[in-house]
Amino acid sequence: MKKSALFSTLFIALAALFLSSQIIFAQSAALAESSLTAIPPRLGEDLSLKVKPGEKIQTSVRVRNGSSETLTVQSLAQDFIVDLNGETPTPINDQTSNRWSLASWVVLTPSVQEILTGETAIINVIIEAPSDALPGGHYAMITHQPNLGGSKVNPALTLAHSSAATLQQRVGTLLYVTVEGPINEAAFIRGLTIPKFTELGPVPFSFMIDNQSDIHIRPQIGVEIYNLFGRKIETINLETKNVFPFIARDFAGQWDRIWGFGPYTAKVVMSYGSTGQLAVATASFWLLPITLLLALLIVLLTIVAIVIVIRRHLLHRRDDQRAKIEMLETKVSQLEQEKLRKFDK
Amino acid sequence: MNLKRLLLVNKKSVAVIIAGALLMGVAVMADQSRAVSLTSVSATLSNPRLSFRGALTSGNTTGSSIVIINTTANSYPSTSSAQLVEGDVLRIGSAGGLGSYTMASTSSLSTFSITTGLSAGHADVGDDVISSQSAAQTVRFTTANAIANGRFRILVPALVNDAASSDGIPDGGFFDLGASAPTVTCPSNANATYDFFSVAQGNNGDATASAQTINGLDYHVFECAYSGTGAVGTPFDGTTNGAITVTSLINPAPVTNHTTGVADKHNIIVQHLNSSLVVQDTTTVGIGVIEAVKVTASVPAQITFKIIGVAKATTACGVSTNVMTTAATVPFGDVPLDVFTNAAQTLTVSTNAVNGYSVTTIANDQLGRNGGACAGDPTATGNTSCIPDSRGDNTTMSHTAFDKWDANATKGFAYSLFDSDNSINNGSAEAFNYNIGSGSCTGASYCAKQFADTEGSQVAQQIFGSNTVADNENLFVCYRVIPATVTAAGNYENFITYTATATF
Repeated sequence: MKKSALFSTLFIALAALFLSSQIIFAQSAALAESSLTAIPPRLGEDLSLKVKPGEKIQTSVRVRNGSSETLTVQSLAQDFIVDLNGETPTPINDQTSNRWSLASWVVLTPSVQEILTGETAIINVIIEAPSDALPGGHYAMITHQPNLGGSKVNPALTLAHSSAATLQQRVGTLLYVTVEGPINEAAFIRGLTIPKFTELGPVPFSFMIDNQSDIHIRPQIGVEIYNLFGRKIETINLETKNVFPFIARDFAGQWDRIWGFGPYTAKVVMSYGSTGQLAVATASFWLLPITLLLALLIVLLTIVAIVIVIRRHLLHRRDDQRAKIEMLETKVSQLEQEKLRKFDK
Repeated sequence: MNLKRLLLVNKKSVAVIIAGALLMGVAVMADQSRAVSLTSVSATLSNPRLSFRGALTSGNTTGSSIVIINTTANSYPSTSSAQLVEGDVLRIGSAGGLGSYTMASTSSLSTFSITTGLSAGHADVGDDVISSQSAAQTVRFTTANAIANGRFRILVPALVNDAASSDGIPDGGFFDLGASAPTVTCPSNANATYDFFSVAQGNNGDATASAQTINGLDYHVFECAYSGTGAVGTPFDGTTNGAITVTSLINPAPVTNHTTGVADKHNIIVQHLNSSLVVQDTTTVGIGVIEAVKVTASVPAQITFKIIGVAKATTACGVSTNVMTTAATVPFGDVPLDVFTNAAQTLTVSTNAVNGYSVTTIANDQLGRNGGACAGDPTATGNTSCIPDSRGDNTTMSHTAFDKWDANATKGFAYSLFDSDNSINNGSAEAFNYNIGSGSCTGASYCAKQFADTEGSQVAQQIFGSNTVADNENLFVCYRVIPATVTAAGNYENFITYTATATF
């Protein structure tokens, strides 16, 4: 009797649990809008997360549920690669360790948690560097995804009642960890490009920062403009960006000068690394409104020509008049002489 | 007879005496009833914030912009930096050598930041930390009696020590008169009944520090004298007639055992005196002084990623969608063989991260029957258990290259993009869009790409991004599917992952 009561109670409890999970699941699957916020977007880019080989450090990230329903959010660490433009972190599922990988050293607690609507949850990030960790930068992304409609990670939640594409929404924090030790830092400015000749500004320029360091760099870049006499007339400070190790990243800007006269030199000065190393690249260019100058010259020459023509015309007319006067004077004198001759006769 | 007359006279005398006594009683009673309170009395402060008077504790250094104060309860009137707000003018140092600083922010109850570093001599233990709050105090009332040639007197709580009560340094629990006497503005004349003296006549706007003691408490005294008969019920409310205003009084610092967030109450006494300077009417009103309500908010660096389902029959990527999607699924349902099935979702990103964000996508595999694997990309034509990725009308479509896909004879599954409201206005924007009209998509009404495929060892592809901060930058991701006739009946599914992060 007691056993049957126990079984009945257990059965009812399991049935209730199953039904409630189905209800929750059904609500989540039909969620029209799912919103997650990762805080912060980057962690440790200022080299603040340092760890020695064999050492363990701890930090934290946060995730906010902006959806209208409570979400079960799973957090996971993934390695990433950076695409050729040096900008887009692309998650990789390959578990094979690479020189810059970090994900396998990271433990997240809790890795799965329920977050109420509008609430922010904290995830502790424990990073344990192995004793043979290579000094330099190591990178991963900590992403958060709601278990809405299914997941390869959690197949129990899979929706498969008809043909469907099931989505995994992930938003994450990029994690930059520095393993202490001898770290090579070297970077170069490559491909400084400025139009050799520009009539009117602004003058665009572009170049790449090639980071050959064991760690990402965040260079401070100034472009100095020198005039014909070697005097610095302007410094343009460019917004900095992180450059992944052994990746070249594009930088571009422009000199906002409309009018210029003559040759100029642009000098890109980059400081980077923990010891403030410098790299410099220069290029010369002309900023000269040649069309305008030619037009002015033509106008000037035209004016001179017109003046000369008018002067010539005036001189010619004066000569003509003088000739006419001389001719008339000659005629008059001839007539007078004829008249005198007749009178003498 | 004489006795009778005498008795009669005496009776008259007694009557007169009794009548006189009664009259005197009435007069006394009348006098007593005249000593009622002034009515409609109020005192208001233009700035009800408490002044700050605390002191430095150990740990402060010259040149540092971090200031640490003594937080031992009741050791000084002010023991919490919560009382201060950004922009407050502070005086820090020892008496006679106070330096001026500006409050920047608070980081804890004991620590706050100033905009410049502490100067030499301003970082010693016990140095004063002062921030004065001044206010105009306006007193309104209505007279209760007609008192000729009288005066109105306002009494404000003051420190017993006369010098300290008027040194311009806030006093704990008391108003300070200030280093220079405050200005008292008396009411303008109320007809002939209240003809207030001019300043030249004296007794107009007199302010005297700690000049009156009542029940052992000292008060600053402010007076406005007048000539005239006075009148009952004359309102000095700032509307009918002027009120009395005292400017530049320094608000008290917190009282002993002050509770943060609870106002300290101080009694202001309003008196009406007669020509002999005898108080005729008195009313006491309370006035509260409290910390500023500090509104705080922190804006962390963050990135928000939303996926929003799109209703059926919505126009997205130039076509009308055939199914409703949710944030989690694109349920194609029963897919016909002869026409496209279109669906869409909206992806949205907001971030304050410098250098912007990037959104990438990758699928675990192509659409496989009951979630089964689909080897190759696209799968071999003979594999009837997969809806492979479309190759496009020009057979050039891949996960990195877009191609035209207008013909329903071209079978498969692919996606397209469209920033319908041009919300992505920086950087790389969307990788392509359905009507890009170039390359293989020249002349196409629908241009698409395959999803990168983990099963095929492909790398996730960026679909949109920005190189600067973003405010609800969004686009449609459009899905299109049409199975081949050889495709086996069943449910087909895959998993598509969208990942939003800051750029590196």
